[in-house]
Amino acid sequence: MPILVAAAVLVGVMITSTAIGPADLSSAAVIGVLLAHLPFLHFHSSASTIDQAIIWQIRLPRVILASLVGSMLALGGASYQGVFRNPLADPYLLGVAAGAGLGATIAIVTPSSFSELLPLAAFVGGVAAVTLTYVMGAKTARNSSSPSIILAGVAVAAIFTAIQTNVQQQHAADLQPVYSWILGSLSVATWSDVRLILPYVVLSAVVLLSHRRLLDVLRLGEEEALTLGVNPNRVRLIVVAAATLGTAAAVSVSGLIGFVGIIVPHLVRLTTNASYRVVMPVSLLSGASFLILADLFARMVEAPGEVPLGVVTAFIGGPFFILVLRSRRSNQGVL
Amino acid sequence: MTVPTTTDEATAKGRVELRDVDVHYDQTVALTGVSLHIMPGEWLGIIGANGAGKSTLLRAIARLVEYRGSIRIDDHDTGSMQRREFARLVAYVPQNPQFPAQMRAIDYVALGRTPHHGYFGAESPGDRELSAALLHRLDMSHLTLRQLDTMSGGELQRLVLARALVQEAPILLLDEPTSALDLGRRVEALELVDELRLERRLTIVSTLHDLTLAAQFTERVLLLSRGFVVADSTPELVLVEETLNRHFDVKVEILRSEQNNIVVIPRRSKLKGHHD
Repeated sequence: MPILVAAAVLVGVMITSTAIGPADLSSAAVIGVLLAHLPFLHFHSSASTIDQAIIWQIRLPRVILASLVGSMLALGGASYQGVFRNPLADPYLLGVAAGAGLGATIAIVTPSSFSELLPLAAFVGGVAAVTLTYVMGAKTARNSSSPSIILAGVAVAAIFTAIQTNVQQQHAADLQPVYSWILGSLSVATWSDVRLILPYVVLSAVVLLSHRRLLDVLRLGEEEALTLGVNPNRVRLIVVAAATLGTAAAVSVSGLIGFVGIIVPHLVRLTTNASYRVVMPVSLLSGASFLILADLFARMVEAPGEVPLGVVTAFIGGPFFILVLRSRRSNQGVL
Repeated sequence: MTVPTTTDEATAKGRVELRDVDVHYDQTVALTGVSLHIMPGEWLGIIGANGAGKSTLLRAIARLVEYRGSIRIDDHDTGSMQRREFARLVAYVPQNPQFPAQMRAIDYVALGRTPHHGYFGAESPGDRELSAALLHRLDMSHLTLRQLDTMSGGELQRLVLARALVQEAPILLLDEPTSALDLGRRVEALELVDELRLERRLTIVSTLHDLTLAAQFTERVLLLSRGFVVADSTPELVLVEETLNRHFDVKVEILRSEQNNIVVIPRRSKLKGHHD
């Protein structure tokens, strides 16, 4: 039931936010263009050619990209919180953001590098940072739910950020593009961005969703999981790997958009029954809706200018973060 | 309370056989040379002082601790089984189960079906029905959609039993199943276990602190002391003053109640009201 509601909300949000923008379009026009692009339907949109181009070439890729990035960040956040039994865990905690930031910075400051390499560099940086965290943490921890892996993540993130800052300072001329990437934005979204991350997001989401029941088994504790025939360490490793892969792919095209992985799963937990079997799919759908709306806000509030998307989510996320910390009910035991 | 006599005794599932089982925790020896046969449908109570190795024995059978020696179930070596395969034979209820807050009772019980799913398998409607039927059997239908953090200790104890039973394993290991319950709830819980044992021909192995309850419910008790089996027989033969005095380090008195139940009473070292 909550899944159907979240899906209906997402469809509504996608259509209306595609219609909203400097050129005023109707939801009917959006639906018409969508139908016209469906194969075998032979539907002809009644919208003008310019409107069709705005919808199909500018607005829709942006909305779709926002939904992919938002759903991945939210699902990744819910997964990390389940694995680490920590309400504030999210994909950035283990160094995805710092690693991707370093990768992106190196790609931007390297002369003669192609702009197409930026997502790849960010992706590699993010995955490398989490791998390093996991290896360092696993050496000192008896099992991967222990806080030592989170401490290792903090240390790795600090090291990567230090290197990134250093590289950035040595190439002061590139400060502007580095800075704007870090703040996160979907303003130049294209279908090729969508195509670039779609396979990773789909693969990651399939793996994570198929582990949603096992994340509930982990909540029974180490020993009960074992006596139910589940190897907790293997589940954790697979979930962390899948969440990292998907998140790194998402941030490689969007830049660093914070807090989605914390806000969305917590809101979902407060409104559903707090079983991962429901929290995971609903987080995926709601994360998409959330980021589409945040992006709509980012492009409308100072139109024709844009507020960086990362600033919008941090603006909502910061106060929310404090509320989560203060609310004991959502903080204890629900993971 | 006798072993259900069946014509298919030879094919009955749930026979457990331990041979020379040793358990070491780092330098300390927790269990030494334990050999024992547990028959299908039997209820074995494990008793002993704190640190005697009761939980360790249960956890060795559940494959939660490393052991030397062999543990076989229905002639299969458990050490070489897949965990999932093993989980279909043995269900385990720990002394202090974790109850995820805000999870609903039905969602919790359904987790017991995990060993029957493939690795990526989702819950089937059949799993839900089985879980609901078990809640009904344990008189908990009205609690199906309740969240765990709003339930009482007695309700949670029945719930964890439902979670273990939905696993449909012939062997049920219970670590101090009554430690968190009041007197009435204790008897209720153990009576339920006994009913289900007879109904489903379960083999039950449980550690029990309360010797009087052990005498009332089990047909065989195993007394452990410092990791050794020191007695293994009927409650009448094991629960005698001399044996208990020696292995519990306390003076006890054994009485018979009007219903001829064995009652174990520890003696105070000082009389009430007398202080030196």
